[in-house]
Parts: sequence; C-alpha cells; structure tokens
Amino acid sequence: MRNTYNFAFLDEGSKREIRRAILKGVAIPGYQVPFASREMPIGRGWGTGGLQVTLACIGPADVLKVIDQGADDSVNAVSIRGLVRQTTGVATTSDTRRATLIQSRHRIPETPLTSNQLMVLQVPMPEPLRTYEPRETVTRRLHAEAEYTGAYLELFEQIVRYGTTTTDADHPVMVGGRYVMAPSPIPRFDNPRLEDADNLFLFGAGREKKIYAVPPHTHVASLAFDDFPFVREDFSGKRCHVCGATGVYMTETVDSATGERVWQCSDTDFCARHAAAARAAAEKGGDPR
Amino acid sequence: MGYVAVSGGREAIDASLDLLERRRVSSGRSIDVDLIAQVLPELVEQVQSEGSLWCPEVAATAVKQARGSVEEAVFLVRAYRSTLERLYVSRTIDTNDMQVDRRISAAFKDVPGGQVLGSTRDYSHRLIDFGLTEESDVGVRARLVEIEEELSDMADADAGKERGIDAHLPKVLDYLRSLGMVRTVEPDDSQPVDLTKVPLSFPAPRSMILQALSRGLTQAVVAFGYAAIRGFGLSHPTVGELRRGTVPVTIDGPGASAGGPDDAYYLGSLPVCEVESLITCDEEEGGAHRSALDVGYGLVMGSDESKAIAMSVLDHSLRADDVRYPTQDQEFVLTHIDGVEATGFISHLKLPHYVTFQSKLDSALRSVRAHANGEKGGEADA
Amino acid sequence: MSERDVLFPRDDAADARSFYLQKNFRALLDAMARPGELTPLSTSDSEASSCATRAGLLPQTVCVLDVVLDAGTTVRVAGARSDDATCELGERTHALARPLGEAAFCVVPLALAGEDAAAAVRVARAGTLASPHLGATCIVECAALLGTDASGVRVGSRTGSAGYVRWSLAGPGIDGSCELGCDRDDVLAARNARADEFPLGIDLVLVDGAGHIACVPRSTRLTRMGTSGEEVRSWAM
Repeated sequence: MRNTYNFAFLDEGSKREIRRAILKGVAIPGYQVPFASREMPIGRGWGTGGLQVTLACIGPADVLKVIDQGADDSVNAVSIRGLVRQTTGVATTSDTRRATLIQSRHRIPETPLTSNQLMVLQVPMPEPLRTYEPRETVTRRLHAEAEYTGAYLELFEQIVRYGTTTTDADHPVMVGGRYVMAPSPIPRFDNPRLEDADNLFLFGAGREKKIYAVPPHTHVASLAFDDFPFVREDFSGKRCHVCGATGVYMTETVDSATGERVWQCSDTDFCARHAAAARAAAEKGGDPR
Repeated sequence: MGYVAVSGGREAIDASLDLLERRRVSSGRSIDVDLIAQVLPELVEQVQSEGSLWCPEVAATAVKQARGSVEEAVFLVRAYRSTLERLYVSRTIDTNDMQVDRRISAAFKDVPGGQVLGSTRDYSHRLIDFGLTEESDVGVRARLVEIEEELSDMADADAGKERGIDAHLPKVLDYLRSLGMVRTVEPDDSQPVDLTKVPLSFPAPRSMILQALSRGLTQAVVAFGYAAIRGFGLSHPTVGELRRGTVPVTIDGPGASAGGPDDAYYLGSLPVCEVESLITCDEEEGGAHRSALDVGYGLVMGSDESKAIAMSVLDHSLRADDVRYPTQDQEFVLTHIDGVEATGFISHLKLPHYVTFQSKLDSALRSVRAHANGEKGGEADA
Repeated sequence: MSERDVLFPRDDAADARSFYLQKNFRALLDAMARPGELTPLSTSDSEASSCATRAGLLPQTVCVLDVVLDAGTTVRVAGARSDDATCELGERTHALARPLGEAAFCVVPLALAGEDAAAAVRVARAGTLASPHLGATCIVECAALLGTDASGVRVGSRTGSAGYVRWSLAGPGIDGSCELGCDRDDVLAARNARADEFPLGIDLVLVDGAGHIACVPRSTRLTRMGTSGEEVRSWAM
C-alpha cells in the first residue's frame, strides 16, 4: 500500500479537472460549472466542494483561514483546517487580515477582503431555483434561457402572504446582469459584500458537483422589487456582549455565567480584535473606539 | 492575543476522537484483517461493491476501522479510491468467459448447460444456528473434512454429471435471440461515460445508469427495485439468467492501439454476479406490432444477487420513454442511491446552522410584525 | 503540538511538480479573474522547453498548457504544423487531439498570424446556452504584451520592434477599465468579430516569451484604442 500522500491530498489529475472548472466559472460569472467531484475524507454536505476548491488552489506560500458560522474554533472548521494542514503543511491563521485563502461556511468575514485574498465558500445547494423546481434538467434550461420569473414569483408570494419577503440566508442574487446565483447560506447581511469586491469569490458544491465564481468588481444584486427593496437582518439596538460592537452580524446565545440571553458577534476574529482594541484604548484612558 | 469569545473546538474534537478510539479498543480484543475477509466475505464484498473498488484487503481494513459500519467503511474506501491514479481502462469483459459456479434461469425449466444451483441460501431455512456460539477453528476444520466427504459421495452417486466450476456456459439470452424473441438493439460500442469523471446529467447515458446502480447503496437499489415490481413501476420481469462466478480482467499493453486479446495483459479475476431480466414489450416491425422481450441488465462485483436483480429491474425501468412512476425517473433514482452522498447530506444536518437559523428567526419576526401592523400587501418594513 | 498535528508524509519530487503546477495555476486564475492584468509564469520545467521546440511553441505556452491539459480534455494547435504540434502536446500531457472547432483548448502560435490566425479564432467552439463552459480556451502567443501587474506597476515585453495595439477592457474583474497593449490585433479583432452573445464565447489566454500572461474572458468588453504609433504614454519596462 502507498506510503506517501500527494500535496493537498488530491492527485494532479483531480486538481487539473477542478482547476479547469474554476477557470470557466471565473470566465462566466454566476454560472454553475459541472465538475466530477471526488469523495473526500470528510462527509458529503460537510464542505467537500469548498475543500476541493481550496485543495486545488492552495500552495506552500498560502496562509489559510477556515471558519464555520464565522468562527475559527467551530468544530467543523477545526476539522477542515486540520485536514488541509496535514496534507499541505501550510501556515494557518485566525486573523482575517493575514490570510491569503479563506474557506468559509455560512459567512463572509466582517473585515473587508483585499485583492490578494481568495475567498472560498462552501455550498450545500448551488441551484437557486431548486426551491420551486426540483429537476436539474429543467433548471438548466431556465438558466440557459435566463428565465427567472419563478424566482421573482416566490418572493412575490411571500410578500402577498406575509407583507414582506421571508427569505433567510442564501437569498438569491443576479450576477453580472445575467445569472441568478445562490450565494451559499450566508445571511442576507453578507450579500452586499459580493458586489464590486476587491477579491475573487469561488463557490464549491461537492455533493451537487458544481463550481462557480464571482470575480472582483462584478455587479451582484440581491433579487428584489422596486417597491419592496432587499432587506437585511436587523440588529438595531443590539450590541455584542463581548466586544461591544454594533452593526455587525450577531447571533443570540446564552451567557454561560449569568444565564441571561445575550447577543454575540458571529465573526469571532473580528470580535476578539475589536475587544482587544477597546481594552487597549480603555487602558490608555482614551475614549473607546 | 486578546479574549476569544468561543473556544475549545480543537480540544472538543481531540477528545471526541480519543473517545472514538477508546470505544474501538475497549473490548481488549483485536481481529485480524485477514480473518474479517475470510469469515465475513459478504460484508467485505458489499463494501467493495458500494465503494466501487475491488481490493479485499483494503475493504476488510476499512470494515475493521469502521467497527462493522457499512456506511463508514464504504466512505473510507471511496475516499481512498479518490487518491488513486487511474492509469488504465480494461478491455471489455465478456461474461460468456465467466468461470461459473452458479447459474439459474427462472424463464425455463431447463436450459442448455443446465440449471446449476451452486452454493446458495435460497432453499435454506432461516433458523439461527446457536451451535455457532461454540464453534472453534478446530471445529471448523473438522466440519470442512466432513462436508468434502459428503460432496464427494454425492458426486460418486451421480457419476458422469459434472459439478463445480464451468466456463463458457451458453447464455440463455443467446438462445432467445436465436428464436427472434428478444427486441432488436443496435450494437453500441461508444465509449462508456464514467460518472466519477463526468458528473451525472439527465437523460443519462446507459453506461452511467448501470454504473450508478452497480455502486449504489445496496438497500436503496433493492428498495427501489421492489417498488418497481410491486406497483410503482411497469416492470413485470422474469429472470432470464442469473450467473455468478469470476471473470478475467485484462488490459492492453502500453502504446498498443487495437491489440488483440492474445497480446493483452491479464491482471486477475473478479468475482461478479450478472443478471439478465426479461420484460415483455411491444415491438413494431414494418407497421405490424408484436410482443417481444426487452432486457434489463444487472452486474455487481461480489455476489449480492438481490442487488443484481434489482439493478436489472431498474436498468429497464429507467430507460422508459414515458415517465409515469418515480422508479422510472432517472434523476429521482440515480441521484439518491449514492451512499456517500446520501449519508453525507443527511448527517450534515448535525452541523451548526445558527447563523442561518438566526436569519430565519429574523424573517419570521418581520412577518409577524408586518401582520400585526396590518401591512399585508402594503409597504416594506424599513 | 498535539499528535494529531503530524503532517502526512510526502515525496519531494512529486511536491516539486505539484508546486510548479499550482503556482502557474494561480497566475492563470488571477489573470482570468482580473482581465488585462499581467501575472507572472514560473517556467522552471526544462522539459517544457524541448517539447516547445518540437511543437514550434514558446516554452511559456507549454507551461500554461501543463496546468490545464491531461487525458480528460482535448487540444488543437492551429497552423501549418498542426498535426505534429498537437501530437507533441498529446504525448506530453495525454490530452486528446480534436479539430479546431471541437477542441476545448486551442493554441495560436506566433508563427500563425493575420487572416489565418483570425480564421482559427473564428472557428473555436462557443459552447451552448445550456453548457456555456464548453466554449473553448484559446492560448495565444504574443510578441508584444504590455499592461499593469497586481501592484499597479507597468510590466510586459516586446520582441524586437513588434508593433502593438492598445486595447481598453471593461467588465467583471476590472475596476472601471484597464488598458492592455498587444501585437495580436488579428486575434483580438477576430474575437470581437465573432460577436458571441454572452454566456457563449471563447476565453483568451495571452502569453509572451518573457513569462507574462493576461486573460480576456468572454465576459470582457474589449475596445480597440490606438496603435503604438499613437502613444500618449510611454510604457516603462
């Protein structure tokens, strides 16, 4: 039996196939490129698509960050980061500013990314039209013909029934004015980060076997109506109980010490740095920023 | 480094892996990988069939590591398979060349070459043998001697009748074809499409249908096959032939284009079970209609006959022109019978989803507010 | 460092090849994501040079092809030596040979110019509305390739006194617009003349002999500006 492993686990043939798919995805923003997704040592639905994209892109000079729900320490992020590190030896970090390659499930970091950073998002269901059309044969045709009435109709029905749209995460977007795309289950809060970004976004769906991309400086608009504009999650009046930040994505949790319900930044790296900066400012006797 | 809001993920994983390993070794007993392959060969075969990789040693090791979980062992084998370079494609395997140890046909009382029952549980009585709790290696060897004597006595009694392995048993279907009973099909030698290299798309080429079924979750293939013959399908098949045995696997030498079989390299033999099922269909010939027989094909590595038969039923069902039942729907059947994908996605529901759940709560709250403010169909919430 | 931080054992020779391919893939990815921006190729593979000579191509072109070609895809080198060159690449990469209109990857060598080069570009496959990713990738060799790199520095090369045309690029990946100087007027004009309707189209990879690549994916709007004779700014090397 074999004794050595390939760099980044995959053999070069597998990497090449993934790389070809990535290049076409970048050339056709928002279009889902089919690829022959390999089984990975982690479960399908647990990030194998994102992992294959990361493994096809990563090199010895990269610095890797992996997050899940915005947290570096979330068990699945730890597991994925460990696997990539074991098969590559690359340096890893939790500091968003230091990372060159970030793989994430369900969040885009609060800290704006730069042009030398690559963002890989894990995608469970790449097909934005799947909720009203279960058949792949049909959705392919709808994308080919740019027939997106159904997507708007779903939003319309929500408005009629509830007085507002009720999408949660993974609110569909229109990319480059041509393709409706599933941004992955990032909260609506993060959708605007895809628009005219400085960095490239790559999306990997391992089980569904699709790769797609949003290049930097691309027009990405969340689907909405003129009289019912796109609505993000509302955190007005709430602040993070750890670092005091407002205007960031937070989740409700229980303070294990007091038992009270509190709000907390989902981006733990941002939170830690914000808290550290606030403490440093307080120590100097200055106003906390 | 400042305060970290949530920590301990790394430690939690390390601890859980330690607990897992503790479970595995807590009995204080280890089992030889060879022993697993020798004494539980059908379990190891299932793992290879679903793992889509023939290597009993690897599969038995996976079974040991997975503590007997087929789901987990198949996952290990498939992930291992992903790391292997694909250097060759074998020459086409002709199952006429099968060294057959069992061959039956439900279509005829007797067939050229005979009905060879072989070793099978079909006519055994499913009564748990509690004597097995006391069986030892010594007992097993003694039993083997006993059985060899019994079989040898039987053979003497039927002097002149062949028993054991037979090669080149004529195919039942060839006989039916000679009668003109089987629907005419144009030979198709186009390159098979490999679904581990090209993603499944619909309508799928026949090679992909067969491949997906052959490596599919055994119980899922059997369940859908059952549904197809029980009413959620049009198939009322008869097993024309089921044959079980080993087939030789050969490859062309490097650089050879269309070399002959004599120049090929023999790699080894693979145990397989093949089923050709017959389904009555309508055949049109020069304006006139007649009844003919369609063929459904099943082939699995190993010896799982139920899977091979179910596969043959579904092979026919999934090529229906007019889709009326879910068992005829390629996307429904083929997408959902892959074990690694099915269990992966089902189990991913255990992953944290609190960010997306927060988003759902936010939407739900907004709809409650909109309703309370009587804004049904009115302006948007700010 | 816990026991579980142990790295899986690897092989140095296999690693070297892996790193070379990965570095060049990232250069290609950056170039495709930022059309018009020049990215650097790593050309350390000496075998690429001998293959290139036999195929009548630049070693840099072979380095790009090493990243994308293998038994899972198809290729055609356009021009007079098409069969020999394509065969040469096939032996090196195991990519299958196909005619120009069918190949996933086409190569337009330096030796193929003018109307012949334009014809090759015209014929390359555009993909279909259901499968636009089948549109071909054309690797085009350039005697002059001038542009800006990731840090905003003007870079490029120009062989001898090769003339070049200035093109303006806009679209996804480009902040506003950017400029590219290239001598392959024949190819770029032919690409525009195809008038493919997005998402159909071909994606160009421009390569020069000094190890720079620039990409023009089908999503880019490409506008001819002026020739080297009408320079407003000079291009510092």
